Amino acid sequence: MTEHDPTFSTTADTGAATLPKVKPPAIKMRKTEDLASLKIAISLRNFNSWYTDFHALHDIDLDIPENRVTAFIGPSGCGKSTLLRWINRMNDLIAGARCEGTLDLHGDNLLDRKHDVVELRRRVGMVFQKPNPFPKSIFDNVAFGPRLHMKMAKSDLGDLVERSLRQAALWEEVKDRLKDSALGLSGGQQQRLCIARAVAVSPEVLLMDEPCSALDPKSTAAVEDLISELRERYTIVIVTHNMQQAARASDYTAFMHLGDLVEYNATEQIFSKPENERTQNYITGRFG
Amino acid sequence: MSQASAIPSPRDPAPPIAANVRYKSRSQRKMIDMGFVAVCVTSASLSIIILLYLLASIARQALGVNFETNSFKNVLFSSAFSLTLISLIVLMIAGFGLLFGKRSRSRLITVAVAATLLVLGLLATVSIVKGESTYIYLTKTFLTEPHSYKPRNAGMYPAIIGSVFVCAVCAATAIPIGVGTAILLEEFKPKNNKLRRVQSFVQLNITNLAGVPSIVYGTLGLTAFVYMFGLFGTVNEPLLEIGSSKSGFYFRLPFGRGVLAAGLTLMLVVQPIIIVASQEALRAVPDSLRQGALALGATRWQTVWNITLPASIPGIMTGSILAMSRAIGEAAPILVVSAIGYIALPPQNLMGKFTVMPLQIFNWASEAKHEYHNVAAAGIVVLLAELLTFNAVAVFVRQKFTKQLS
Repeated sequence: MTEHDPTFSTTADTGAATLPKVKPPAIKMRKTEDLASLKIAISLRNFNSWYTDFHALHDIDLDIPENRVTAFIGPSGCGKSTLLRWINRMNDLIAGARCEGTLDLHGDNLLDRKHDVVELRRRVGMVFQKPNPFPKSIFDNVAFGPRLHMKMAKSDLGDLVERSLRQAALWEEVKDRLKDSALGLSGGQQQRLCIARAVAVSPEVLLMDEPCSALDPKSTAAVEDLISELRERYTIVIVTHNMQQAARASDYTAFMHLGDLVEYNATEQIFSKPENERTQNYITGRFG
Repeated sequence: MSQASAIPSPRDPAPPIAANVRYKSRSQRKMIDMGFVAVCVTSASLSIIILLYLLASIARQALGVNFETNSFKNVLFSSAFSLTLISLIVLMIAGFGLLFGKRSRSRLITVAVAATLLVLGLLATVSIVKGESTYIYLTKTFLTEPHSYKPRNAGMYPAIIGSVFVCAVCAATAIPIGVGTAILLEEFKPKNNKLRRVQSFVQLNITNLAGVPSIVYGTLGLTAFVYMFGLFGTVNEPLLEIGSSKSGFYFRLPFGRGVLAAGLTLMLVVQPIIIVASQEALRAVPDSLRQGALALGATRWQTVWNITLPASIPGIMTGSILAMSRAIGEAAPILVVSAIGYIALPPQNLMGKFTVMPLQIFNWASEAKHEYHNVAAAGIVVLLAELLTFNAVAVFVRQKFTKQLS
């Protein structure tokens, strides 16, 4: 076959000739700030964690700054979700999970067995990988947390629901169908509803466990925009597999590998001149 | 970067999962599938034919019918009986489809038609057997009169009211306790190793209890509820009496052979069914919902009450209603607990003497006068109608709640 068919060209030179070279858009990262100048929300010292016999986290020392976005990156199974789930003690639900060390939220030791987990989880909201709206109306979904924790009049509750939905950039899309089932929303809308549900109880910290991994690019962009807006009010910790997302959305990045905290620094530093070789290999895509 | 590496280049084909693996070709796979289908269809149809034949002969034996002299009646009986069985099978298949599968209009119509054919087939079978129509006993007075020494005047009013009383007691006790047990076993699983062993032991025993013959529960109920282990005197000289036995409010210890004892005995019978069905329904609720609620700072109990329980209500309701229809049809444990043949009045209070529909039918069927056997058949028609209504309510409830949730 002499005819030139660009779609099936296998040799590198013809491919290069037919396909235009596309430069990936430069990722805009936030300005580096000195960690010492920031107020610290969560601090971990000598933090170790086990699942029965498996040592999942080794001696983590980490300071998460207030009102900034901190991203945890790393290959699967490196312990970043485990670490995240210790911050609101969701790991308590897992049989055999235990930890040692200190984990402070604004000076309160969260690992104290006497610490009220319910109160802690009100202060530390969480958004999961897969959108998990309750099989209730949109209104009831957002009002679920406030109804648990606050005593308020019906009109106040309505206002709170509206404010939460506005914060989650969802109000305009759902204001006419608050009584409809939340399961009728699209995936991206459902995830933003989950964020609205989390912010409705006015938490101090918002944990996000791969919040965009089940979403399409457009919804991902919406959620990322939302994250940078929410940064003004909440301390956000986000676990992500997508390094571009970490670079775009976060101020600080922690790279974890096999249960170790390999490198923790301002996002710009991590992505432009990482100090550790493993970090460099990971962010350039050589492994993971 | 990661995206670029994820796209496979056309140059290198996907490597085989393991070396020296020979995959089955498409035609081979098809042949295997067809073979399986053929075996399944053949064995299923064979077993259905054998089952029909067996059931027909058992039914004839049980009803004491001898058609040898009348071949025409033989044919009529077989066809009417087959119609009943086939429509029952169709009803069950389509009904299960409605309950657990896609809900379509055609399935609904199939269920309705099959239910009608089932009742018709039953009536036809019953009337052919005796050569005398059952319909003449199915009058209005049949539902409003007590048993009589003239078959034409006999009715099952006390039995119907008795059934309602007993089932009300059974439902009021069995559903809360059963659903509560299911929640405890499913939602509050202990993390402690010793407690976990206790939990699995309880779980195993509940599953086993579902298979215990109901007459065993009858004797248990007799000891535990009727006599109360003799702790409170005898049935005739109770230790504690509140109110008068003639009034609507009357309580005594021990319970004696009354509605309360029978209802509690039936509660024991249906308890495993409700627990297992509710556990299944709770297990079907995705864990992500529980985690979502807990992460918002809900306690375990708030999570169950606000999220898990509402999401599993359709399954729990269906299980409970089906358990209740089992309770309504249960004769053996009631026979042990009540031991009363003839009763003219419905129960006055929770301790009152009573009879229930299956028991009344049993008594009619064991009468010497053969007309009573037709009265029993009429009673069966009423009982079946009530059961079908129960199951229809179950289907309706499930449909309604499922629609609300999704």
